[in-house]
Amino acid sequence: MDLSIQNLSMSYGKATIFSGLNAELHSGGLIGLLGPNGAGKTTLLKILTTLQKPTRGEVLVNGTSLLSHPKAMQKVLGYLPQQVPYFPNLTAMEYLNYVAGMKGMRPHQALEQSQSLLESLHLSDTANKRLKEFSGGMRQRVGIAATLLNDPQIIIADEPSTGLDPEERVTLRNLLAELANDHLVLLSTHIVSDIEAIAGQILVLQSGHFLYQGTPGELIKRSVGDVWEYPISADWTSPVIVKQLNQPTTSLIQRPDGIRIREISKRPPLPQAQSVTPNLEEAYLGLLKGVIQS
Amino acid sequence: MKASFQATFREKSRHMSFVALCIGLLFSVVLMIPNGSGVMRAIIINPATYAQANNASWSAISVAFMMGFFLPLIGAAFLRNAIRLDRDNGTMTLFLTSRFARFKYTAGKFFSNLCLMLIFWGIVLTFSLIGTLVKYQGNGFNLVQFFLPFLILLPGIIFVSALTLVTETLPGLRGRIGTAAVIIFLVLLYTSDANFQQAPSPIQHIFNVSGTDYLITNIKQAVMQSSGHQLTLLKIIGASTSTQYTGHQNLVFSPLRLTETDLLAMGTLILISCGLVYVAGLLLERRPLTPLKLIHWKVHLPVNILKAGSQSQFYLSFRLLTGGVTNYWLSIILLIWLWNWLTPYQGLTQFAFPILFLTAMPLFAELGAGEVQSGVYQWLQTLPNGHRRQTVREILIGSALSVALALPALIKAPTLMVSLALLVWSLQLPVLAQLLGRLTASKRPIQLLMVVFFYLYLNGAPLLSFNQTELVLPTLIYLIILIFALVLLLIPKISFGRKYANY
Repeated sequence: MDLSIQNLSMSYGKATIFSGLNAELHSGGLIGLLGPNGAGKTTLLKILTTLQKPTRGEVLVNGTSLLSHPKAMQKVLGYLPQQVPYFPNLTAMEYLNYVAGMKGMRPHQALEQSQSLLESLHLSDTANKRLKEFSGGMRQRVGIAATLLNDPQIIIADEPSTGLDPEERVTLRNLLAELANDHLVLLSTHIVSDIEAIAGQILVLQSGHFLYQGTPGELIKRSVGDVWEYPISADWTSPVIVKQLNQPTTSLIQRPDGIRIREISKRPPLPQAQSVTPNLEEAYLGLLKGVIQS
Repeated sequence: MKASFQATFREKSRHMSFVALCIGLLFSVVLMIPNGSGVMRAIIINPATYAQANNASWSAISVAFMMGFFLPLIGAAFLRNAIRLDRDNGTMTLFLTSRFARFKYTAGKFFSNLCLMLIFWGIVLTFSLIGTLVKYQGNGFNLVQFFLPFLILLPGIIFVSALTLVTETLPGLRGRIGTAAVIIFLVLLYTSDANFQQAPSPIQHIFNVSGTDYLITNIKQAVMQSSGHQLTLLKIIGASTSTQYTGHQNLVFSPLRLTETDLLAMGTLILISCGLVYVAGLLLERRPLTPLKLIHWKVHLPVNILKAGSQSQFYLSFRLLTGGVTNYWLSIILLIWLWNWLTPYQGLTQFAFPILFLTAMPLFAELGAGEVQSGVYQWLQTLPNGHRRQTVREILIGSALSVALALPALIKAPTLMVSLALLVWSLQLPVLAQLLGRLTASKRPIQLLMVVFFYLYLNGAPLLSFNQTELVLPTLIYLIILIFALVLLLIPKISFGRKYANY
């Protein structure tokens, strides 16, 4: 599957959400869409999932315009929105059967897939419980199951790990990574760890533009030499330390020998700072804050 | 208290349903100002003696009579989630974990309710005034005579504002059952008051929420003064087919005269209302509420049947329709439906049929609104023909329900034409419900519409074609509504879910 974003722009009146977005997305590896809150990720996803039309630009699904032929996308799409829709008075099984019916699946096929998905998402014990009795994380998993019914070729998930505990997040990550082998999976998130180690391509959206498009490895390479680590002194109240801790590009890390500060900076922040290998989150933060060039 | 008042007032007044209600009331004033001619008349008083609605003094009497019924019901439907708003969005949990001044909280909610009701009251008052002055060109207009019938509604408005609040704190009445119970209570209160042939008891006088006691007294006095006769016929929104309008005498209403007893009754009602607000503060929960575990009849099917079979889409659609009501309620609907089969046709047309449909009201209210409120409708847009499939499915299941409920009447109808007319009515109801639910994302418009509809019907309005006469016009109207609603629901360009997209 191929998804081509061409010169995509979206404005509401005088407010521009994004403009001139271009990207080529292919199946064969999970694609992570990163960006801070308010960057326009959800708006972009709404356009890709035919819920909204852009102000300008084009989106092609395997060469067919999504704007003039939305069904071309709808036939192959599995969309998991940020807030999972559900009917509170239906059981999980009933809801999946309902969605399967809406997707035009045959009853036997629907039942089979629903059962299989519930099992893989550890929901088979609660399949006959009403959705209003589910926790937020359980409902999220039902939403994922509904998205995956009928084996959509394009899966677009908007912050799918919201409400999931660490174990569930790992399960979801592994599931999406496996699907990405032969599906086009686009995962929007502002939590870098959701896509770390599984994304083959990441897009970073900020201020209405793609700051970065490429592999995670390439982004990390760009930030080599821009991440520093130094031990924190005993004097927490020293003005220098307080100033350091208040930087948005600073984090604390626990080491066996004590707490150390990791800071993203072009120059060493303190004489005792040592250059360290960055992780993806630091590379992403550095990109957002302008420390690392886009 | 101020914070509670401001937050609730702003939240509710910025909701589309508030604007829709205000506009609806505005237009309804046109219906409430009486006409001296026409098929449907707002008020009919001794038509054999008096010329009907030929002077400005009739206007306030007519509007106040109708507002006395509708305004409390509108209040019950609209105000009933003042506390639930906080429970649903989680702020109640926050309050309960802090030093929470519950009496100030409930007082603020009460004043918010009252303020909203006063806005409705004010709209009706203002536009009735304008309508009256325009219609009668100021002839015979008396400002005091005009305002007093509206002022007597205020104690009832205060009572409803408090009643809707306290029922939100009572176990078992916090949800939709509570709304239905409040509406039924207010209707019963109204019907017990609105009996001009008997003098009200002291209790009825106090709980004269609609002000009808005073209006009826005023009408009786006016009739006695003008002709020396008794009041023999008083109809509000009555049909005119069998009524003889041969009267020519003028009937002019003087300003309402309130006695000390009347003022005491009003004062007592206001005091009771304040007491209810205090009780609401006492009964307000101290811990977050856990949802009531509704008793569901568990049907134990063999596991292999569940695995081998499939849940048909028809079954699922039916579950969506009935999932929000308990099995007890469904049983009641079933029992009343059986009663419809057993009762003679006259009893069916007079009581059984309206009661059946009013009891089934929560099911019709699910149509259109359920999937929009849950976000499913918006998500369906990402599926090919998702919207259309959902719409068609709902039309089919809603129609099946409505026709099934109407089946006793359809079969017992005296002629085929009457059956067809009833069939058209029963087909348009669920489609209209779905349209309203989809447009407003709320279950209340159709609930309100059904209550008003059956109130008018029970009051003699020829809205249901149970006999051979007056068949054509109502059937034509329902057919137009059916076609119009179907077209709006099925036109693909009109995507109601778009504006409710919350993701």
